[in-house]
Amino acid sequence: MAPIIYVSIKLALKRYKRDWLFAMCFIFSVMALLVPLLTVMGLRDGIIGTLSERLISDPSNLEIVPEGVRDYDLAFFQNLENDPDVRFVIPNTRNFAFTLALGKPGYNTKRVAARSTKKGDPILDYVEPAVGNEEVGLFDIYPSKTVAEFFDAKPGDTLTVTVSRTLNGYLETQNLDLAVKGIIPLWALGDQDNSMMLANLQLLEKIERYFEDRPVPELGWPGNRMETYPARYQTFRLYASELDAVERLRVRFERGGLIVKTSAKEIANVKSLDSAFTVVFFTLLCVVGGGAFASAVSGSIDQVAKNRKSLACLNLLGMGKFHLQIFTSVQVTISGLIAAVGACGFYLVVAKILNEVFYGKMRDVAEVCRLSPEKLLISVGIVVIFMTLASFYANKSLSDIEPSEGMRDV
Amino acid sequence: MNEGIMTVRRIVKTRPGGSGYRLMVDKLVVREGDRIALVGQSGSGKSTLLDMMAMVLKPDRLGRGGEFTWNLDGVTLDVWNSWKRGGASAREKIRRSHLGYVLQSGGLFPFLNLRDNILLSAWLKKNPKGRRAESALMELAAKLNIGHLLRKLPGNVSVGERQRAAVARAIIHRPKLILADEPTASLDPPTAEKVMELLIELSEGTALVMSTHDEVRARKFGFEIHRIVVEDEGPRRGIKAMLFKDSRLPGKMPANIRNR
Repeated sequence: MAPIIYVSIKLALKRYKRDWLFAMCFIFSVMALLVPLLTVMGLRDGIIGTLSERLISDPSNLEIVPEGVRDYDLAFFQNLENDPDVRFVIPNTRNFAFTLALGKPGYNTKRVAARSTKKGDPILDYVEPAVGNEEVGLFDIYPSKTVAEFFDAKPGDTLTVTVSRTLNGYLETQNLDLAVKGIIPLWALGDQDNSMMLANLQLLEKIERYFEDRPVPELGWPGNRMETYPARYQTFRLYASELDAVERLRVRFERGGLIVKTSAKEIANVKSLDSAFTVVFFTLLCVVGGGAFASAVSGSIDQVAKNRKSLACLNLLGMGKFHLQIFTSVQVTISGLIAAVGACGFYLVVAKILNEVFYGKMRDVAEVCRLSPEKLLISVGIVVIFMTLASFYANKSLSDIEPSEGMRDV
Repeated sequence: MNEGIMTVRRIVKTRPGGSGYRLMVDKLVVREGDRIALVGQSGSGKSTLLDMMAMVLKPDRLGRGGEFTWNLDGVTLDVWNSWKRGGASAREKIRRSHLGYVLQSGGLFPFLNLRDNILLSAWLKKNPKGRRAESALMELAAKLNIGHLLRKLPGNVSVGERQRAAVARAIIHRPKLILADEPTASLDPPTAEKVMELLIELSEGTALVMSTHDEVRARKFGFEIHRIVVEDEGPRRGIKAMLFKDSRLPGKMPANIRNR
């Protein structure tokens, strides 16, 4: 069996070489259908893809900010951490307007908003230098670029936080050295205060305990209120796992009576644009797919009709119908492959022209037309498979070829 | 009972197209090295018989005691039953391995050069990469004087050269039987003579069945003549044509056949 398939393919290639003019006509007709389709795919990926990436890459677009304060226990956060729609959640200290005095020798003191963080915080993905997915140490901080510039602080520097409380008319102060692990770029802050820093939640809770006149033995800070109570929180910082999850979470929170602020509107705009492009794309895909199929089928039928005598003679020489099918289909498959590769080449030219024409004319979109090499490769594969299937379908007309036709003449 | 490479007894076939009358073959046995010429008027059914021998045309029926078998190296293929059982692959295998064809105008493929046209039979029979086929090609091409034409397409050589290439294609894979359908009909007499000489010389030991109008040349080259006789007034069941070995040729169709 195998050698006969080899012969079928070998004959098909030789036949193809001789019949290149017809093949070129077929190839160009398929390319004329494929190039516009690839261009629409490129525009969809270029415009929508860039906008979506921007939405995703800016963590503030995935952030869900609760408005006002409520009382949350640890179980609330444990539930959210197990929720597939939630990428990251962390409670804030009870006092949301939690500001601390930061200092450095030779610089004025600056009051900065302190927000809690821990391993997995999306904002930490963007700190400079990259910290990876490391645990946040108890005395690690990540100041914003504004704060870092104020102190000329670099990663590895030490900043001192001064914690003060007034007890019985006396001002008590504690100083704590904190290590700068990375700087947060301003664009990653979203709606957060520019003069802020991220610090370990446990550290902020210890500072809060000190404010409340409770002892913090780990840091050697005294306190008079000895009573303990379960941890409670008033707000939190939460990031959805994906753009679609933002709206789902918003609906769920609002059903639970919690009003939240999200970027759902911006996301909806991009989604709507995406849907419109998808409709255009699939409409074109149907038209082009139908056209390409018809083209491949008619091309194959024409091949069979024109080569009826040759096919009958090959059958006479002992090639079965299956091998004749391979013989004709290989030629259509090769044409499909050349057409697909050629269409990708033409598409790249068209994309380059479009990108140059529209460069800088669309906000937030650097390349209006782009397709990844993987997608181009998949497109080529689909076209080749599609063409082969079409030719197999068309080759049903081989079934009525009689080898006795080959006895007469070729 | 098998007496040769191929045995045909009492098969009946309605000729496709044309007058549509029935052809009956009472007995045709092809043995190794046989030279058989099928003669008869145009449209008598010579090519139809060749088609049946090549197993590309199914007989309508077998008469009582009839058979249609191929016997290859002690293995018998019942062709008649293989049609019923859909044994297409077995018939194709015999066509690839044990049959060679010389058609009226060569039957070469226009998209293959002469070399590939000739080698095609060898490719289909065995390993397409075989070197033995290449050396056989060179030997045959030298004998047929077409060595200098091997890279040319069939459309770029003369009819005689095409026919010589067709002879090479029919022989290169060492078949058991060569079927030739009026192989010299489209050639001028000197070329026809040369092609026949080469066909006879190169197919030494291989059975050769040829349809022809040129009975004189067939006799000259030692062919046993089998004649298809067509009667103007056919017998009752429509059988108007019958194949007879020339030495047994009766004046009229036998009554027992006529009334079958």
